[in-house]
Amino acid sequence: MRLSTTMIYNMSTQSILQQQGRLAHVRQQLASGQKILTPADAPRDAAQALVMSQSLAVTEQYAATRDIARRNLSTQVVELRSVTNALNAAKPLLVQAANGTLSDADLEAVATELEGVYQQLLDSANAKDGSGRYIFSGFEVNGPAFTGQQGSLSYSGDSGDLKLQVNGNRLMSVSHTAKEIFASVTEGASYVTTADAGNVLNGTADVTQVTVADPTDTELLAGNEYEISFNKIAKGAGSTYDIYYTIKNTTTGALQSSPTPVTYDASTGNPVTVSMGAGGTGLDVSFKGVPDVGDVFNVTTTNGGTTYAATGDANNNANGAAEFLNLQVTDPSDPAIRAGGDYNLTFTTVDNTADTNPSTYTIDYKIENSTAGGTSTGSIVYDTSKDEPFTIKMGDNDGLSISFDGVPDVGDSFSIAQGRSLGYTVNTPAQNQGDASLSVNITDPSDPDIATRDSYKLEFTNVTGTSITYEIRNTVDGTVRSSGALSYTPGTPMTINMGDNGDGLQVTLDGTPQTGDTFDIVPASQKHNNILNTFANVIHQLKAGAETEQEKAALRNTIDGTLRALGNSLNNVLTIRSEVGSKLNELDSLDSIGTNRSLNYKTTISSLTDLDFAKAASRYALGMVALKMAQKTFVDIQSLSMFR
Amino acid sequence: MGNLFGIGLSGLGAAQAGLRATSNNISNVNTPGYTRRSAILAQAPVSQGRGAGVSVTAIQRHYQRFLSVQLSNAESRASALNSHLTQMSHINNLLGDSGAGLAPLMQDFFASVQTVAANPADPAAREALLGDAHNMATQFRTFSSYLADMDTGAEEQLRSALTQINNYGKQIAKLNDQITLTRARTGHPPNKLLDERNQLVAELGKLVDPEITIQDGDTYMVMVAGRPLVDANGAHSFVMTVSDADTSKRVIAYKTASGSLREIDPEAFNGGTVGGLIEFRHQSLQSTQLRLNQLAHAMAASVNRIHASGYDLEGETGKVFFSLANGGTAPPVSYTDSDNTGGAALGINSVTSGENYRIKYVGNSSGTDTYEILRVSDGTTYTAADTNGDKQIAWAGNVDVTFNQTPANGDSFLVRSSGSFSPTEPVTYTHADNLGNAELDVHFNGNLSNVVPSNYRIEYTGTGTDYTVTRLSDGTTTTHTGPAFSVGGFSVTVNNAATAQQGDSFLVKPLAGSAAGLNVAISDSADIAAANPDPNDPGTSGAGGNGNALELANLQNKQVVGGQASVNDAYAQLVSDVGNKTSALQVNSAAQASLTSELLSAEQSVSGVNLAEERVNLMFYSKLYRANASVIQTATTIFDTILRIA
Repeated sequence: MRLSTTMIYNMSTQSILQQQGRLAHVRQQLASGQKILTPADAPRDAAQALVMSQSLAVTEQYAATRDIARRNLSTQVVELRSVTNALNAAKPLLVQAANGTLSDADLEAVATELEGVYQQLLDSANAKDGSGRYIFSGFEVNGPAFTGQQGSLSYSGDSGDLKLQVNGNRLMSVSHTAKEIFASVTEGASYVTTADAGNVLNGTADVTQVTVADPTDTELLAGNEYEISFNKIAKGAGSTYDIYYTIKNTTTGALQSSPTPVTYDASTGNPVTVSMGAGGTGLDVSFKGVPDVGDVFNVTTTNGGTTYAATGDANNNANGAAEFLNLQVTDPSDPAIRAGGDYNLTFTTVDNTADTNPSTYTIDYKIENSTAGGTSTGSIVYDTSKDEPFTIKMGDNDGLSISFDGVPDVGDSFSIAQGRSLGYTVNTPAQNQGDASLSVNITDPSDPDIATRDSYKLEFTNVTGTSITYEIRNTVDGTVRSSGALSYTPGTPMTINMGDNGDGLQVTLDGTPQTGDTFDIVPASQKHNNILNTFANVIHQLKAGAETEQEKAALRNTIDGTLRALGNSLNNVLTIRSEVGSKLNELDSLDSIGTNRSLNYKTTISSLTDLDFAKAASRYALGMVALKMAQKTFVDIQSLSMFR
Repeated sequence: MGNLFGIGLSGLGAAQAGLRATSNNISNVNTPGYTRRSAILAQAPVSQGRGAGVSVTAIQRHYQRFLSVQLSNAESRASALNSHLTQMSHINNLLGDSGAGLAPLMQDFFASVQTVAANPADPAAREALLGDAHNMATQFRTFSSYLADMDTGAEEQLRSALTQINNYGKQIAKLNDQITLTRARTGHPPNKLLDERNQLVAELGKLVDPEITIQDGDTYMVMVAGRPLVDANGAHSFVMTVSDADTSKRVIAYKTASGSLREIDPEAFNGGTVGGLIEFRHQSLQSTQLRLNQLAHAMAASVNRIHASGYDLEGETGKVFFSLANGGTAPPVSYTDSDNTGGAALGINSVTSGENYRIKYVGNSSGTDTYEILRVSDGTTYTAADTNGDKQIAWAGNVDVTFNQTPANGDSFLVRSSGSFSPTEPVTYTHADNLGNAELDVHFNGNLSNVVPSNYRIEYTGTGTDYTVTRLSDGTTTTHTGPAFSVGGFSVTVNNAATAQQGDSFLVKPLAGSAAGLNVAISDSADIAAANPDPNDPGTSGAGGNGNALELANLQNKQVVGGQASVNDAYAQLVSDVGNKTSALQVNSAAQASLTSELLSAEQSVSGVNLAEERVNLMFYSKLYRANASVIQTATTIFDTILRIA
């Protein structure tokens, strides 16, 4: 093709410019270390890098938030530790003061030391963080948590709960109010277990009738005798029970092979019948009631098989004796336990058939969470020969465990209710004449009065020698709940029951009251709504000293109550401490997840935007060569002129 | 004998003509638009069978119209792509620095919100949040004004391009006349004038995409954007004028013979710088501006909304965080909570001015739908029951709303008496040619997820109260029955609807100025509403509350932009969009450049001057001259010899 001179020069110039442009781009990439100089270089990667950098930024925001959460929690740990120490220090002092032998001066000294404890507790409750804000006041961070006079401190914060976004999907609560920490003063057990009233209804099977249905049965003709033994009871629908049994021919030693179980309906009480004999239908034994697993009926004849009688074995009804031994909150941080869920435990099957060892029982049970709803079932194997109790656990993380001894009856149930807020304490008016002191125990939390946390006044209306009459008045509705007389032996504690059903609350009287002495039995929280006020009260009484027996008794009452409150408060603080600790642990693990993520995002962003220097350097070298060649070509073309 | 002299002389003349053409070629080797010439020689008329020498029939221009038109078209397209790319590269470069774009500032803003959530009572954290909010708003405004400057710049370039086009038109018209005249007078093609005219057309082709038709073999008729720039009557002109539909914009208009201006559809300009600039303005710049505005709008409106439902350090109801354009005079709006599971929305029949209410559906109790209502200002709560099942409830005297369907349990809604939380209100333009007096009253209706990056044209159909609404970003149309309807996240009320005439139209720019108007409204860091109301004591909150700040921080994960993307995702889409467009333009522009270069070399292979060739021609014609001189010499010698004999 014919080329014009302008074109020849143009093309050379173009190619030099092009090479220079490419080179400049690589040079800029090399200088900045960035692969993408403008979004146009790689639009998709540029957008992807932006999205990733947002994810990275958010991850780092969470990391910063975690640091703050950690700071908050650590501050709390310090204060909670100080509270624990203070409470631990107070305990021996109170015990010392309680033994009644201290002089007023000694009591005064104890009071002074307790003042220190009180101050330490108050300092912790009203602690500030590094920025001068109160840490236990909820959202009212600019005011102290507790305000008021010593002895009548009240919580001035609110229930604000600072939640921090410590991870994409974890909103962590990182604050506690002084109310949660100090005001949770209760004096009852944290959980109370009660056996239901209808328990041990089984093991009461009685033979109602023995009928010879087929006198021609060969075994009957031979005068064989039998033994019916019950080896498995399972609760069916409604009030029915499936009763599994075996029949043994005691004359020949033969076992009737797996007879079908019979179903007994406790609501109708209709007898059920089991049959035996060579043909399996020669002899019918009817009984009503649910036998215990292990119960035996002996079927005997006195006249060579013409008529039969069935009698229960002497050892029958040995079961249903499952005794509630112990209840323990093993993990206070278990969410269900923290939430104060109530439970209902029912035994559904007791089975002694499966194992070759006759002392081994398989016990099925059902646990219903009556607060939050939900049912779980479980099964345990209980060996009576080992003489060890069996334990059933409940709660979200098995935070609550209950142990029993003995084989329960099928259908037996136990309710496990939160007793945390059900504590009662005794107020002893100063004008009491006697030296009686009272301790209080909740015996039935479901008692209507107790459930509504009514208060009582116990008054000794007449004390003459050892004969005492008393009156119990419900101070909420003002009615006299009960009155009575009892004979009192000094030195032997006496118990008096009260409550709507007369048995919800039990007080134990120690010492001798005088006529007209009264005791106020009030729910714990009504008395002193926080441990600080409880301490202030005991300090006040210790300072006042105890001269008379009455004063000593009152002091003893106060100290007893304080000790119980202290124990509960300590438990509470420890629970919160362990919760804070586990949150700190969680933060650590979230940190490592976060660090991993950050690293991941950074790697991705780097792979999207960062320059591969080796590649770029080789592109640069190539570009240089190309440019040089273009320039050289230009020079050569220039020299190719006919006009010389 | 004398004949020999004549032949020699004609040869000398031919050599001279050749030399002149060659020297002219050499001297014009670098002249734009120059076409190579060469002398066309022919045998002189033969008499009595004997040759009579050579004659120069013409000085020929080596020109192929076909190639030239192709080249002109390619150059026109190349210059369009190039001008579009140049403009686009500015935006691309602006977004290029990932450390200086919007993304890090939005991230900083949300990081500060998180810090406030973690330390709600800390004045330092609050001040930092205000600072970051200002930075982000400033960046939005800077970005927006940069884009606005680009628009103004493009408009300026268009104006000067039009001046050039009009000039070229005049010159071509003048050359048309001269060429006709010269040809008539001399009978020879006026090569120089033809070259000049072709050069003008080529230059014009770099500005627009002209259509050339040749009339009477000589006269160029030039059409630009379907209008005659040069015709038999001479040159016409294009000017910039205010658009009839959108008085904020200047568009190209054609000046008719009668002197009136007629707006030209911008789409009619395809090639050249003008085509490129129009493409940039309409396709690239506008969509970037709309996306940026949508982002600013979504950001500000959703932050405002959450902020206004919290409580500040003094325990007062949160103010708006980013300033509002309407100052609280727009009609009431309702917001549907983004976490709602049901599809219910509510209409406001009446509401106390200055009050906001939070409504929560709490379920159906014994056959009656029940709602809980919180007056945000003081935390007063109300309960409203829909006893007659008409989904209409009323409370607090004169507050009255109607649901379109029963909400899902727990769904909540916000009723705001003084307009939406949007930073700006939609801007409406009434078309200059409208016959009726109808006017539009347009306000955002709080339905943020319907707001898309587009402008709308609303046109009266002429039947009933039906209006056709065209979403200009994609051309989709919907028909709505007036005089009040909702579309694209805003509600429209047609005033004087009765006077509307068929074809009367309005332009609604819902997002105009959202980014440019983004300002932080609060100046006191204590006014940052970090807290939620105290559940136990409505209407109050402690200084340490952080519930609202948490919600604000969560906003960065919510799909608030058009209901489809988080703010960061939307920004990433914007960047990717600009990047993609630029990259496509780069590729197209490079391809077009190489195509142009191919065509140029083809055209030059015909019309271009090759110096080597000319050098050869030079030598050839010198030789020719000397040879012819020798012929004359020979003739002289012969003549002398004869004279001597005689």
